[in-house]
Amino acid sequence: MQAILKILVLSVLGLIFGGASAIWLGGLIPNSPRTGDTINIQGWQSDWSIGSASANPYVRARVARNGLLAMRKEEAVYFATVTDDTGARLNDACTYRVSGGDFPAKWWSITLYDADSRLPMNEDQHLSFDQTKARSLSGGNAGRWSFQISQEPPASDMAAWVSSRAASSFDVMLRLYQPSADLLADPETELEPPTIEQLSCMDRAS
Amino acid sequence: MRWLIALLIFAVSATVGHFVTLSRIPSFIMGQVHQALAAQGVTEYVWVQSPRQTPQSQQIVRPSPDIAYAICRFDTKDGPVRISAPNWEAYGTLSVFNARTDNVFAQNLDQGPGSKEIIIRRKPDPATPDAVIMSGVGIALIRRLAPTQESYDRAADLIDESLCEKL
Repeated sequence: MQAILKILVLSVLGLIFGGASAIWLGGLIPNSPRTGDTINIQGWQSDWSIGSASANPYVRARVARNGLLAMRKEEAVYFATVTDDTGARLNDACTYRVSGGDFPAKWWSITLYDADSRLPMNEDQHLSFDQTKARSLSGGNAGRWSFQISQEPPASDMAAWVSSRAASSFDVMLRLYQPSADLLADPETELEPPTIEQLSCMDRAS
Repeated sequence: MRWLIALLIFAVSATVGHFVTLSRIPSFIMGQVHQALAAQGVTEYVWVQSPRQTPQSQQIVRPSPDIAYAICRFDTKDGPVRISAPNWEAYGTLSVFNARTDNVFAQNLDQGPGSKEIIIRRKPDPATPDAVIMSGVGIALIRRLAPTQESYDRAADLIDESLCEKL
């Protein structure tokens, strides 16, 4: 009887340990180890496993948690950065100039999110910059473009502004819709990510 | 020897618990999503257009303010399902996710006039060889690029021309 009890206790402890380790390795709790395929291009990071038909059960669990209903990579890929070109954390006390060229995708957009991964709670209606605006600003071609991230609108060219009002620490996300096959095959070579130059910063104490 | 047997029992139990839990995480999360949608009044077999994503309307993390979303819940236990969506002037997709969160179907909507239509069944049927085969509950999702209020309104109007119905 005592032997059966010991076996039961050991089995239950084993099941609990196994279940908890699955939840941890499956990415359901914060700061879990990443088991996917992270790409880092000059500070712009992408989880290449999101949108993949992966057979790896750890990746499947983490994608279900963090990329639910995400599109296949052939439909869209996402890159995000939390730092400027110097490696400093992006924050709404500073003004930035974001610059780049066209990307190997059918359409693209760059959107600002606050530290809670939400659109910043402002009513400026300048949440993102995209290919349509870039082409409009550059006269219809897919040339170089730049826009400003700041709390206050720029003196001119309101179309080239993304508001960081009420964002505190934030990140920016580049979405590439229907990326090229070359980009999917070799993103490190094919993608030239935008640059983020810090122009000035407010003194929060003033 | 006793310690070795104890260790073996623990290891076997832990392995079983680990992989059973891991394999059920996707369907558990999808079940939670269905429950949450039902609680928000999203009934099955009805396309529901989400409001334009703004700081004030956002309900999910990292919403794309450029995309007009529409969603329909269905359950293949009720029989075959017909899903259709009109094409769109710019980037757009019609996609279907099964109960394990797998993206079992995706097709572009930016291919001129007309619309995309699919049949979803539990088992293959020679009468509909192109049907998507899946079991259990599912979610159909329409995404349309609509970066302005005017384009969002036009995308929303297309929901009346979309189908999500039991056959």
